[in-house]
Amino acid sequence: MTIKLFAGALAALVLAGCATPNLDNSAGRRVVYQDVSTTSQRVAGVGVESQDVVSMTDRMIRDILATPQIAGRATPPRIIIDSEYFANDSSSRINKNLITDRLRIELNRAAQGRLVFVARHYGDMVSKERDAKRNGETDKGTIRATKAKAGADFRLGGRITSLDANSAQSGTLSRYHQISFELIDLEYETIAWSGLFEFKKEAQDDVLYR
Amino acid sequence: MTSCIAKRLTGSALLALGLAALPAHADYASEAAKLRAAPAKDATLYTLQAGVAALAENRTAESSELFDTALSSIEGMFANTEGAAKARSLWYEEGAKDYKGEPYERAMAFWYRGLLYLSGGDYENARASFRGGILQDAFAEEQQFRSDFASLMLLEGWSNQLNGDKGQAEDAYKEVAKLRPGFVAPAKDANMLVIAELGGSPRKVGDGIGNHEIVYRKAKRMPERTLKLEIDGKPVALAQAEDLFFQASTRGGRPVDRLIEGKVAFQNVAGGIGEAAGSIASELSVWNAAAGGGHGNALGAVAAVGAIASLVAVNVKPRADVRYWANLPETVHVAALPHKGLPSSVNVALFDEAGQPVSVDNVQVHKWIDKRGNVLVWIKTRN
Repeated sequence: MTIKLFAGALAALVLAGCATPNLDNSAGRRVVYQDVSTTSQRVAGVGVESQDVVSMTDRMIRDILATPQIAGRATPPRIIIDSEYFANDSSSRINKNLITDRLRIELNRAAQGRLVFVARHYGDMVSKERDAKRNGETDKGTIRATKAKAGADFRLGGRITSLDANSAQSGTLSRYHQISFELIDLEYETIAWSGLFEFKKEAQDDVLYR
Repeated sequence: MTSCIAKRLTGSALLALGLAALPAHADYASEAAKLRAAPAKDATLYTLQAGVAALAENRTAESSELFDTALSSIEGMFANTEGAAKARSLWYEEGAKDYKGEPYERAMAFWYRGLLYLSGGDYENARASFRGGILQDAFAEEQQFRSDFASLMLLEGWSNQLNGDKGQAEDAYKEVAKLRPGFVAPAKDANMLVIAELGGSPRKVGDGIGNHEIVYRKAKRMPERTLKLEIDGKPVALAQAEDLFFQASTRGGRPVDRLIEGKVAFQNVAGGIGEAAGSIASELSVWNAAAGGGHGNALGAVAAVGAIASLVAVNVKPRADVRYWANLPETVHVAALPHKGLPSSVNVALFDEAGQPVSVDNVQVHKWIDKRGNVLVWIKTRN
């Protein structure tokens, strides 16, 4: 009995001595590709994440292509999709180009000529080249010369808004995002198409961080 | 000595030497060195400090990247992490957890990210940052001091104003006026924001049995409280918008404090049992000797139980987490005014609480103008 107790005490002493607090001895992780349409198992917050960008742009693409006033015209309409009039009025920091670039590129690919995209965000680049062609610095190229650059029929507008709720006691944070997309008729100032994407995320931090 | 103990002692000695070699308030290079040497659990703390140090050297790209990294950790939700599990256990102190800072520190991480966005003319993300900071302050425990970070609300209003969102700017300024009576909203034609960060960071100090409580102390030997400012030869009046020491010290009790109190209670009970068992064994051994010494084994067992309980008590670590963001200011002063172009001269005179001049060697003054002609002047007295 006595020997067992002493052995236990000795074991406890050894274990306590070998405890190495404050040491992160994890072996690390090799680089792995993650699916952009899924939530990370390791890092996640209540802001806009990759899976949200993919989901919202996919839905808007399907919706725009299913709208005859936009995608069913005999002459493909010209559209500007960039972040110029796409506002972030939320409490999430985000590069809006993540959303508008994916929307434009995937829509362009899926539309297969039913929509024509005007590259207003490359306007300076085109102007410089046109000037160089016209002042003789370069030749005229091989395709064509136009009097003016393309005017657009529709342009993307929209807004990211959010509503936060939190509980100091439980450390729970919830954020509701509402992201609106609209295509504006650039002559008549009407809204030709609207789409809305919304989601809400809630998480609870460890008690140590409350 | 076991190898693990030897490693720990060697590590502690190296860490002590390393810390001794580094100045308390360092430039970007030394803050970056600290970050590289930091254990993973402290990485966010040193990332924040390096972020401020980079900003103080006008390295806005590096500073932005550092604050983005820190904010991804601060905004991430920590659930079931190994560090958190350790910090909850009896055998590790609270400092074993990954650092995320107290609400005032998290709010300041958003503050600096917002300033960096403002310096680059990204008003929307600046606004999002300041809103994120206000939300962090909402986690403070004391109801009357929750969401009272008026400087963040002021900057949210300023971001709205620069972005042309007049209604939202007015709403934000009204919130500021509720918290800071006498606050005057920036003029509609104001396009230059002046931020002056004075003094040193609130310090966290361990107090109570086993340092299980956090108390806040003001920075030592950093007495500047007010300033006089001249921009291009004209005096500019600044109003104090924030007192970070007040923000830190009015945070209220934390839920984790109750866990730590539990550790202290366990330590007291285990220590009491150990002491009592040891005393009983000692007393009874006298009687046992007088009675012929037939119960030696039983007395040995009681003594052993006492020793184990004492050993357990000694190894309980109730120490609270006193890591703190060391290059924050104590007070923040703000002015907004109209100004054409980037100012050519900014002169700063500092004064202590009694109005006596204070000399500070390395006051940092940086000025940025964005593509819309809006100016940000940032002054920091300590780095």
